[in-house]
Amino acid sequence: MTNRQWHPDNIDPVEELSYTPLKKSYLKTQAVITALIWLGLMLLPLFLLLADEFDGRNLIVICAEAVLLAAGLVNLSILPKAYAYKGYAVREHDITYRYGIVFPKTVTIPFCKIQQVSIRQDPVSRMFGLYAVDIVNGAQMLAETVIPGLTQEKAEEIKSLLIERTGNESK
Amino acid sequence: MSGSAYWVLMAKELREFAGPFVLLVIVNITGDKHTFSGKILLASLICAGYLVLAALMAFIDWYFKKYYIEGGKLVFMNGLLNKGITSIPLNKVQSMRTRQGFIYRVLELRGVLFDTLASKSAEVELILDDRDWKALMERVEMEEEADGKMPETEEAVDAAAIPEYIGEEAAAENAVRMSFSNSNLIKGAFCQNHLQGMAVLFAALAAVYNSVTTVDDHAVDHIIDYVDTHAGTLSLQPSGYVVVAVALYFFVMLLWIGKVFLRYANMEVRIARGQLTFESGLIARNSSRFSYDKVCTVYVKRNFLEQWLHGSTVMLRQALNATDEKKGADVRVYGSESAADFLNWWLGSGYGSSPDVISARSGYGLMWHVMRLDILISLAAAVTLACFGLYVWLAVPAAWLLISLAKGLMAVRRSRITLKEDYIEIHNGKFADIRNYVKYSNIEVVRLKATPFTPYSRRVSLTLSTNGTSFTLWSLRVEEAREIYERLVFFCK
Repeated sequence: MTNRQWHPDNIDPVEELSYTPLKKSYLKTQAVITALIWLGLMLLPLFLLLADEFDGRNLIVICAEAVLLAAGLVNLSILPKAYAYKGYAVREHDITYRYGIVFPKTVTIPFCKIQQVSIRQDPVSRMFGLYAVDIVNGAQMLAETVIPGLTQEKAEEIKSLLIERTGNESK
Repeated sequence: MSGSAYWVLMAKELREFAGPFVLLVIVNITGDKHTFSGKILLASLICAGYLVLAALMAFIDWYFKKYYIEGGKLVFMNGLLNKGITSIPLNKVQSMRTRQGFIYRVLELRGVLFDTLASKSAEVELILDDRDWKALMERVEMEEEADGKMPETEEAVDAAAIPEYIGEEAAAENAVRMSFSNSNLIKGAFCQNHLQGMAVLFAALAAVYNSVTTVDDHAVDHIIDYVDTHAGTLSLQPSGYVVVAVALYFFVMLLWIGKVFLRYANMEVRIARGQLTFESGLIARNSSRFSYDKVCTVYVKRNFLEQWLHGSTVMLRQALNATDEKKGADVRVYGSESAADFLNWWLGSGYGSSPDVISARSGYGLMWHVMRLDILISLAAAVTLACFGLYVWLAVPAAWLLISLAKGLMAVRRSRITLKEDYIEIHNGKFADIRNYVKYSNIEVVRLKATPFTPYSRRVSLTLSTNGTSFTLWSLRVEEAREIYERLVFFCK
């Protein structure tokens, strides 16, 4: 039987933490990725133009392109708000990352549960000199948490901190 | 491995090459190139080649397969040209399983499998006779003792709570043995959703289909043509369809009960020195042995039939990739009232008296999550039926929706999370009462998710994940969810 005391007054609740924002250029990265995705989607209706026997295809293509363009613009317009919400916070025993605009989510990973920490970069984030930290734990769901939009120094700093704290907590 | 193990390996090789062998024989016999005696000679030669190849492969497998335990590691060597050495630290072995199929039992052998978290299927299989098996177990137990894994778990076993003891010797060693009656097993299988038998039926049909298409690609076309030709004589009255549906349901139910009976008959559970060994099976005996700290969730289900017949379904869930689920190696106990015994072993004998710390219930927002798919299906069906003018049949999607509504209401009634002093109890399920018991130390990650309606409803969802299970509690009050979130993160260390 355990009987550890719970001191709610001594704990900073996750909703009251001050979250470190991601690097400003991460917004540009997101804008480029989002624009590329929507442009890719806008290419798909163009294949309808190859179907010669399909009457009214021009109208359908124009409508589809207009809808996709509007959706893409809406998506791009909400990016700054999504970016502003994203952030991470480190407490004594865990790290918290919050993200999401329609469904805001907060994930907390205790240091003692972290199994692997790595740094990665994709082609778009490389253009802006940004890195992401991958935090892997042994959970069946939510096994991987990615904190994107970090400079190399910041990513290395978080990685070192997590590895050090994980080692201390596991002792 | 002993000499008898060679024959098991030989049987495995024969099975592996059986498909190509049959194909080769059929291809060579059906042609007009050879005379009858030539065909017999050719078939004999193919048979001889098949036997020699299987014998040779089995010999290589048997001769070069070796294992030993050294420095707390199981070292396993195999292969001739493609030589492999696998080294598994014993403390990383999630579970040790044995299987005794028909051939194994005839030769008094058992296949021993070691599961680790690194692989979805078993890492290593050793085929051992009783003497080697006992020697291996002794070495494993010695290593476990040296590793200091076992002592504290002794307290967790409450001997008084275990229903049946077998043997003075076992009692002396503080080993507890539970056996479960086959009548309870049949009762438990009867209480489940019998439509699961459809999976057995489809698997059997798929095997038949594969065999038929292997023999002749046009065989299926011949059958379809035959059915098409005789469709007129086979047509039934509407009442006939009902009879066929009822008969099919009973057939599927029998298949399901038969499957469960074959897999879990003569079930025995031994609890000793912090290790739980589960053994069952009518023809092929399977066992699974694992330490109590490898269990991440104890699942207890009671549907209305089980409640009425005083039974339950208990499942000991381990890390997801630890058990070879395709072969049904997960520990399940059907039909017995044994949940308290397993919980005594896993949570400690005082688990029932652990006081509540905080509790939260789901709100009506959960109904949407339960009903959303049914609503879409019912709407689609209703629109389709209306388009075809089949207005009477609209009663079917309406009834479906009503059942879904009942399901949603029951889910809301049941869904809650209770943080106890020593563990977490999560109630979910719809018509069945499902309780999941999780230790704080098994929590790996926690997530809180809001929705666009949260500012108005003040409800959020909470997800907690262990290394083998994951639970989402929808529509909890924000304040309660936040407090539970903080406590879970705080106590999981």
